[in-house]
Amino acid sequence: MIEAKNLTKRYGAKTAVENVSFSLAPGSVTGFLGPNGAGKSTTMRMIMGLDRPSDGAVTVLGKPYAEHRNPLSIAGALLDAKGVHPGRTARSHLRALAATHSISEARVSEVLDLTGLESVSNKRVGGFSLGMGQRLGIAAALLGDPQVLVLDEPVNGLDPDGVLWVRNFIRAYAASGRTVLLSSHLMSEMAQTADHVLVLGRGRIIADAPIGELLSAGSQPTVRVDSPDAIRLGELLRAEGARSTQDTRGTELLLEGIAAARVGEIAAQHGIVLHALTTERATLEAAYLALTQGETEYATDPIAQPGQAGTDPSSTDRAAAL
Amino acid sequence: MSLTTHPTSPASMTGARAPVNGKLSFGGILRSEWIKLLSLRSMRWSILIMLLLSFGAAAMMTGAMSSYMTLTEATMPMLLVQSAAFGTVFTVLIMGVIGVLAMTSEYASGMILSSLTAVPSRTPLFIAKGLAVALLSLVVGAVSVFGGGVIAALMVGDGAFAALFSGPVLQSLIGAVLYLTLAALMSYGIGTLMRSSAAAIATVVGLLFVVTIAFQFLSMTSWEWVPVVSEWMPASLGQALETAAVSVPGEFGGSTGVGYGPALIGLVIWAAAALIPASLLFKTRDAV
Repeated sequence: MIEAKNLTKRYGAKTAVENVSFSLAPGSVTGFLGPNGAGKSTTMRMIMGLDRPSDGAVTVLGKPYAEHRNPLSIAGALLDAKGVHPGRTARSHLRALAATHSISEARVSEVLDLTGLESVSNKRVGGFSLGMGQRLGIAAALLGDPQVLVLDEPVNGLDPDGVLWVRNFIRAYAASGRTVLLSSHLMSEMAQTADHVLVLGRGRIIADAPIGELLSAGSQPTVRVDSPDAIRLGELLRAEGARSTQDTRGTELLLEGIAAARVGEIAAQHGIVLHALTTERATLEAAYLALTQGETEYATDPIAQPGQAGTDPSSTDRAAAL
Repeated sequence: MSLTTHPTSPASMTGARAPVNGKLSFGGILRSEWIKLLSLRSMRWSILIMLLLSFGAAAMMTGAMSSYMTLTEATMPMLLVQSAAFGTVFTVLIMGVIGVLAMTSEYASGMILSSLTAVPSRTPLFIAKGLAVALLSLVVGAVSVFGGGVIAALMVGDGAFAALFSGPVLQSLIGAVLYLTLAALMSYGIGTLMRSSAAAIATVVGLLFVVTIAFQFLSMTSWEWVPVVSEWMPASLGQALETAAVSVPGEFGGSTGVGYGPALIGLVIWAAAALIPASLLFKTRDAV
């Protein structure tokens, strides 16, 4: 359980985190989203007592993290995959951290085994790939068998096997009544892992809601139709009250305000051939992009995609896999 | 290589077959810092180079001094001490770098985030790391200085071994070991204050080495403050600690500086001047 009250962090004139309050329930996975520079990592460091809040406070299981007697059994964190001295072996790194809490050698072997690092445990970390560094970071976070996990971009650089393992692991971890706070820029991954979403933009909370709520608030379902007679079908459907969400391109139509069943009925009535008819739910990515528009710290100029001029981000769900 | 896909049942959630029951203690933190120091290959190399430098310098100095000095009962202690401690002019720099890197390497690599997550109260970590640095420099310093003394005694022969364990010689060699240790601690404080390896090493080399050369130039002036300030610089204090007990006026290296006791106090003040502000800042600063 993590509780933040009016948490604020200022660096000189710049405010990285402003008046942020939230409460993360045990037994749940909370996804922490936001553009680069929104203050996610700063907030995570404040939770772990690494950065001092300029104002407000954050507690882990009812107390500031630093005031716990045996902190590693309270919370574990992966904050920076490079948070390891490159000259040390994976096992030495974990042994050094374990020693502070007199955690046994057997436990060090357990977390190495659990994260699949057993075979490289005596290799120096400097030669590790990004993914292996992540695994070591996760192993370190688990050392004390903590009640709370704070993971900053844990799947960054992992292979598909690793991503799947982290997802299942986090789900089961929360299911055992523990608390997980997880940041990621992989929206499809977050949609499958998190129960609850916390979105930060320019240091402020812009959304704090169960993931289902965020998705249904995002936009209406879109119906995608593929027909060789798209132009005529489009005219008939618009007469029924459907709205095109983009110009008809070739044989494809994207429509809102009409159910897929109704589209099928109208096509049948007029003998129009359909190649595809699907309902597409709003994606987390679309909801996220709609929320954070104008909140990005480091905005890029939009790039015109060939044949897709003026595309509304809420319809680009094909890019959801990033 | 893939993550082993153990069935993750809630009972064995983090793979713990038995309750982990971690208990934070100062002894544990000290052990952790000791593991950190000794598990780095660069550290083991530094120690090896330091010992070789020390022994080589002792052999060279013994050869040089015994070729032009008349060995008498009066000059024997000085020859032994000068030979055994000669290497400290250089090895103190290695000790300084070890002291600096003990802390700055944590910031350079990001390891500090992991370390402070395990010990969020911080001050015990600062003290434990300082103790580990002190213990390592005491042991390595003692082996290098007394090893150098043994080499010198073997080369001189003729009752040199008896002289090696006489009061003044022993006191001087202990002084040399304390100089190395206090210099390492001062460097540890400077490393913690600066957090950057390059800046802290430059400062330490400046204080322990460059300042001495600068004062040699300044001594050509007639400014009155020059000899006084010069005597209280760390390297001069180290020299005084090494030679005050055995110096023979008129012979090479016969100057006593500020004397043994004042030199020891002076070096403790230098170390404290770096360590006290470092411990306060370490406690309050953000860990990035």
